[in-house]
Amino acid sequence: MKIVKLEESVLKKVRVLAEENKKLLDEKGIIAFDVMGSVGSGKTSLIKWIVKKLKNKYKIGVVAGDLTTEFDAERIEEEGIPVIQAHTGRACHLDPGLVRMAIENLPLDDIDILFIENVGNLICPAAVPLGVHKEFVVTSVTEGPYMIKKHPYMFQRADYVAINKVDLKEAMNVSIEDLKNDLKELNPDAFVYETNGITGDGIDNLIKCMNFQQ
Amino acid sequence: MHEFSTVKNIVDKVTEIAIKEGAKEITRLEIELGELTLLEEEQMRFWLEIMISQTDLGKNAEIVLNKVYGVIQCNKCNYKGSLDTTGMEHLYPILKCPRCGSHDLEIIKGNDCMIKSLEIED
Repeated sequence: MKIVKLEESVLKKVRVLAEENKKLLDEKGIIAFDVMGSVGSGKTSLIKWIVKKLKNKYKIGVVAGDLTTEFDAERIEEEGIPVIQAHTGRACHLDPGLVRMAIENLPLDDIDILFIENVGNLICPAAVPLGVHKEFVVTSVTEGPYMIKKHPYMFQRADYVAINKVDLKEAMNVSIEDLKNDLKELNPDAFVYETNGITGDGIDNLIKCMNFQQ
Repeated sequence: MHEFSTVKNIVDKVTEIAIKEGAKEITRLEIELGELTLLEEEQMRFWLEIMISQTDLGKNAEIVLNKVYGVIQCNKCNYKGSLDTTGMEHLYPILKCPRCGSHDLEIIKGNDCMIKSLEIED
């Protein structure tokens, strides 16, 4: 019998890959956002609005993460910017290796801002760093009144939070103030904005807060 | 669910090392799991037992999973110690200083998952 001592970190590989992604993005002068949120919260709609409003001033690229489909990539491609679809197959989150493969297929020398749309999931993506600069979480009133409280791991690390579908707050009987207070309790430094992914209301404020000029 | 991919990495790594060490069998695998990772202990155990038992070398391997409690250092009040784990927060503590309530803190311990050792028959 033999005992092999290892002290080997399992998570280190993921962190190193994420750091390598960040280094590449920094070298290319790109600011990258990991866009996370539940299925159907409005991640693609908000990215599309931001792209629509900024594409004449900035060169934008998008990585759209999904299990097997290409609906999101196709929707964003309508804006005429480079989009790469990253398929996770069965996995519930993107990982830094997949992101690396995706961004290597983007014209990185010709991109200022990169949005990486994660798989719709408020749990697993919080566990896996991708190597981005900012984390942007999209939630929506149709997810009910407790979404932020129920997912502290995701919301406590977000840099920006959009509360989407605000036009439905009465129908859903959800208080935006309560959601904002829940976020403040978990993460007082996060910027929070109310948005409407159909009309584009609130997007201008979000863009301003991200320090981009229209 | 992300526990599955983490365990897959562990089992691949352990198998690779066991082969390199000329093992005939893996008898024991010791893993250290940090409280502040987003890896759920019971799911880790579930996948570890299933996946190691399906390898040629690890059919009878005993899994030892040790939990490492989180330690933080507060950048505001200099508190160093564990987080609040009362009530539901024993499931996953919120990253907030239990003394002054600040969110500005560093994680000192409990943020990793380590393969500690491997016991093999050679």
